[in-house]
Amino acid sequence: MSSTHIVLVGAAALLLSACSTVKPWQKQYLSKPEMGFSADPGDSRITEHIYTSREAASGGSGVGGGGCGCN
Amino acid sequence: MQLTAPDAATTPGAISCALMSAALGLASIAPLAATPPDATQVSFKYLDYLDYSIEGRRMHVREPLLYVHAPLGDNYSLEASAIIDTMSGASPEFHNSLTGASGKDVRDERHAFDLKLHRYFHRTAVAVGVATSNEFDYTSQTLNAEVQQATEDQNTLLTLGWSRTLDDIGSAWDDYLQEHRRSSEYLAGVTQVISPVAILQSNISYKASTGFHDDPYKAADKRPDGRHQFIWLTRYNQHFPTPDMTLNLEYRYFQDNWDIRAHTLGAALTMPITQGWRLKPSLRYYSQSAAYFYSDTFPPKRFGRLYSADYRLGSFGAVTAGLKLSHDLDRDTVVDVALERYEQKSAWRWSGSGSSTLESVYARSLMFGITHFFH
Repeated sequence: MSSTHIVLVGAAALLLSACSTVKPWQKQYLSKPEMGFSADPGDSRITEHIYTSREAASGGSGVGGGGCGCN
Repeated sequence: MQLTAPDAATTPGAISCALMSAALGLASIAPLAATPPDATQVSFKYLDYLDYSIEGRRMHVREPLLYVHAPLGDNYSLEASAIIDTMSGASPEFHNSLTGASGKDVRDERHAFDLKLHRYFHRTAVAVGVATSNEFDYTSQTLNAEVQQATEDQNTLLTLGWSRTLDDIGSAWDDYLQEHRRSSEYLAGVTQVISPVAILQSNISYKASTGFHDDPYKAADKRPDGRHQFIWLTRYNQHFPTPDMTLNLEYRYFQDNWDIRAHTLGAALTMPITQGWRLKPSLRYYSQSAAYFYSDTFPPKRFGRLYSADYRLGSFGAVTAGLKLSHDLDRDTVVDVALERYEQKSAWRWSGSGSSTLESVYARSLMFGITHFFH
């Protein structure tokens, strides 16, 4: 890794740490269901199965779903 | 006590944080998963799905689903779902379809179950799960594990996941076909709170499978014995307090050693329409390039070589437009109905060539749901 890369990664880490300044009492909106990444697990299971049967690419959001003969 | 969050989403600092995180491929998190749910969630969903082509081929799927996530004491929770798919219709021999059996009138049923036990520690959550899917000609069994670690300020969540899947493949046309496929999947992800109204998640996954990858219902179909898939998924959620709307954005990059490259872009906006009613329009674009052994022509020039005419390995683009309406029946009960229309065309691919003779496919799905939280 070149020194340029190290500087870039370091700068990025500093900037990202600056993002994490949200306090617990500021998380009112973050706790809304639609702000979660698994807001409706039932919908997600069904939708992912449909796309898996139609397209070559799948996955990315988690591990562990059972396969099927649809692809 | 009513808390008021500052509208930090539009400040230059918040925007630069979001851009920086996105550029780095990092992820962000909602209130972290290191605590068990405070109520038992029970959801019932019912899907009615129909796909069809210009030629009049149709495939109809009906799918009820039951999902439960229940806390067990202070430190555990159990998550489970059960699905029954019933598929019926007709499809041509060399392209398609949602079920393995193709080429004539088909009817198939799939039973799928999954179970996951979560254990919560201080800022750490561990989960182990099993999943199974059974059809008369296909059985799949999965074991999975996941570890999540939140930082002290609960603004960052790290996730590591692993799964192992064993698939046994048969055929209604060949009683002697008994093939197997073994898959391992690894996932690493970060979820990061960007601001009081913004959160980002980014996951990288790698999946390796060995064994039988052919489609036993497609003539001359012969695929490699191994597949390696790389997936990078980034999701970003932004809430706008003044109109009380939430925007969900998603991008997924996919590539495998079959030369398939795919891009998925998704956006959805949740908006209140009146007290207790919400509308969620959504749009999704997908594009993939073809596998190197894919061919538009049948029969193959030479039998015995790698070959597939399965359109799902061809090059195409697809657009989904959806609309979901949700209504709070009371404080703990939500009902929803969602309608989606999917259209897939060769000409809509972002990049790649081939598949010029691929027929267009249309689908519509209608889904009803009810969710209740038991306290």
